[in-house]
Amino acid sequence: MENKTENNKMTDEERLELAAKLDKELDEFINSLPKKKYEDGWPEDRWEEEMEKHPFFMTKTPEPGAELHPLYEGLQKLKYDPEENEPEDLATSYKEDGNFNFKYKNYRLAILSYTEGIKAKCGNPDIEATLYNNRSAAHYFLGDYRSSLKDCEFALKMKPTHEKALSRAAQCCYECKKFDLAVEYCDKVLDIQKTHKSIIDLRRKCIQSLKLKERNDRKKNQEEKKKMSEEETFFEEILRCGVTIEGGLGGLSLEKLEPCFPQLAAHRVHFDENKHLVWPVVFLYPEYKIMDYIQEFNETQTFEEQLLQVFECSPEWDREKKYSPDSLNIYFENPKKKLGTVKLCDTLGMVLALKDYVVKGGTPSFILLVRNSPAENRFLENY
Amino acid sequence: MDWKPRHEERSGTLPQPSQETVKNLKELLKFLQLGARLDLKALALESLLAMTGSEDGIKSVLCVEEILVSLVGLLEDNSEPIAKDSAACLINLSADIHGPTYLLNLSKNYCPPLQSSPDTIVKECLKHIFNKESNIADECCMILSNLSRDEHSVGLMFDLLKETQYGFDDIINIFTKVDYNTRGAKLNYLGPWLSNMTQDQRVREYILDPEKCVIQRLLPYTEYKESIVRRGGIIGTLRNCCFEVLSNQWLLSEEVDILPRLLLPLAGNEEFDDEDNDKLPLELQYLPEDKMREPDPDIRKMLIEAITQLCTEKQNRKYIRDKNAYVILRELHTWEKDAAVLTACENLVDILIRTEDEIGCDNLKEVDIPEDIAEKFQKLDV
Repeated sequence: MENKTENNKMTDEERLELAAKLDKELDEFINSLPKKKYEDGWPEDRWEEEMEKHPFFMTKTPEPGAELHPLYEGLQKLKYDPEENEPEDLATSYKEDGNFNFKYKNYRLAILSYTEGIKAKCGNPDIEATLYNNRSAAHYFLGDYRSSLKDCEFALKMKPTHEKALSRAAQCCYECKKFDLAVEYCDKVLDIQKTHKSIIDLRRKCIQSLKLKERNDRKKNQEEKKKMSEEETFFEEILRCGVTIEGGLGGLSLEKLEPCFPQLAAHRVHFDENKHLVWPVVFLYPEYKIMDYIQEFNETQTFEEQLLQVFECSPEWDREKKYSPDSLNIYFENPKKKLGTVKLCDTLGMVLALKDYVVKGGTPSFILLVRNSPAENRFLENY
Repeated sequence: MDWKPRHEERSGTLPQPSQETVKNLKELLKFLQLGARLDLKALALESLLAMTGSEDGIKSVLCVEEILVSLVGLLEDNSEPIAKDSAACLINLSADIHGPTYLLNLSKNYCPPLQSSPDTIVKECLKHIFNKESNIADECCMILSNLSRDEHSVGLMFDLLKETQYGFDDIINIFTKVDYNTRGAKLNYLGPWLSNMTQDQRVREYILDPEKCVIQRLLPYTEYKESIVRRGGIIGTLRNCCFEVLSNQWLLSEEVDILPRLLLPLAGNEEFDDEDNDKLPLELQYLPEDKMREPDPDIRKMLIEAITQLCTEKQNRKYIRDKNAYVILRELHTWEKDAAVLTACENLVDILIRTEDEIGCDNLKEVDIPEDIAEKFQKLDV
């Protein structure tokens, strides 16, 4: 060995000589090349632009859809092509991208990256849990608590004790007002870390909201029950006055007394201060196909009194001035589709107490025709 | 008005049974070991179980330490009926007023042949209670509960507990875990056990440790319909803890919020007007028609006593007044039939309806009561 090295050893002189010779050869080689201007490089006036395009030096990420520098494309392929990468590397790359975007608060971009990472289906529960958990965080910061919660659930499927996912799940449930579930998640976090301050506070908030919700439900329930029993008594009293109400036998409900004309909607039958019923009433004038809506017709009032009010001044449509209380006949339709008559001196209460008067749609109605007029004759004939 | 956590007087030693009885009992010993023939073991246990059915029998058995040690050892028997029977014997023995002293003080001198010396009865029971697949976990809870009835035994048990690997944290964990035992044991008797243990201040301090979340996990059980044993045990525990005046304010604070838990079982379905409702804690507002009161008078009494304890200091009395506890007690009083509960209720209402000017002191326990009056009170309470 030693001999060999000694044999190969060059003297300084020899070395210098060799160097000079090589230099000379290189110069000759260069000089022998065909003389041509260097054109492959970046033009001096546009070098900044070119530099920006180069993936190593670019300062901005390319816009989606923009033409990509071939080098960029190549790098992208190296990093993201499923054929070049193992799913696990791919998932990790996307995760890092997502984290980068997340850091700069580009939550939507981060979500896209994490989603790609999830699509890689790397099968490593740690990475997958992280991808879901991080995507959940991005959703959370965008205020999309439902999606955030869903991702937490996925992350927890991979890693049931993922503390961050558990905490965020609790937060999301709180935001979505699922307080029961929020408390469950809080308890799971507290199982891992007993003194987690913000979770203890959150749990308390949830319990408080839950209590309030339960209390409000109970209150609503009680109010509804009270209303129902009030309605029942009211209904019973109406029936006691002898009024027959359509459908009144099958279950008592004030809905059946709700006026079906919008003009009378706010005037459901009620008691006045003397415990007299006040009804909304409709007068029909078949001659002109017109109706009058009487908002408050006290059961103690007679028809005469009511009609005097209605015809105090002659209505516009009564061109012939024929309509006045004492010129009218008052009819009502009974359940057998026959007509009943009402006398002017009858009170509303008396009429409603008749066996064959049935209140329909919460609103008693009467047909008014001018006595012995052609219209009346026509009406009676057709009936 | 100075109540103390409930305890019974400690028992003395028992008279030695006749030589004949001792001889007969010792005859049984050779069958009461893990390796004995199953049929003989079963027969021997049966006769022991019959003996422990009577008070005299119990007294004789308690005096033969070797039998007691053997019974503790047989808890680990592979045969379920054997383990069950020995547990049943120990339940009977521990239920006797003298039982705890003898069973908690077993010496290590005797060891049943061909087996290692069993652990203390406390540790053996806990082993079964912690074993998810044990068939005698509930029986063991009963033994522990029986063994901890008087203050002296509680002290002994506390020390024996410290020797085991099981801490209070672990016990609370399995106690509050639903269906911990897979063989259907409910561990409800840990409730009365815990209640008994809280006669000891060290246990009360543990439960009232603000750094730990113990009492908060027990509170939901004040309305636990499934078991009166568990419910009563936990309410007893709460009541005993309310005697720690220094913790009263913490118990009432948002962190624990004990008051609604104590009041809710006392509330019925009475309707209050909006003003009264709004003053009550949220949990007690607008209760539904089907709301039932705690059916057990002893438990109702404990609940009232707990609230009464919380009224010791002025600021807490004020808080309880502000929370409209009075209306709940007023309705309870009109509904209540049990004389003892009525008295307890009246005692509490007396405090609540008086103004602080009338009471005139911060801490009710610091009121000096002249001896003659105290005596009169005692007679009245009895």
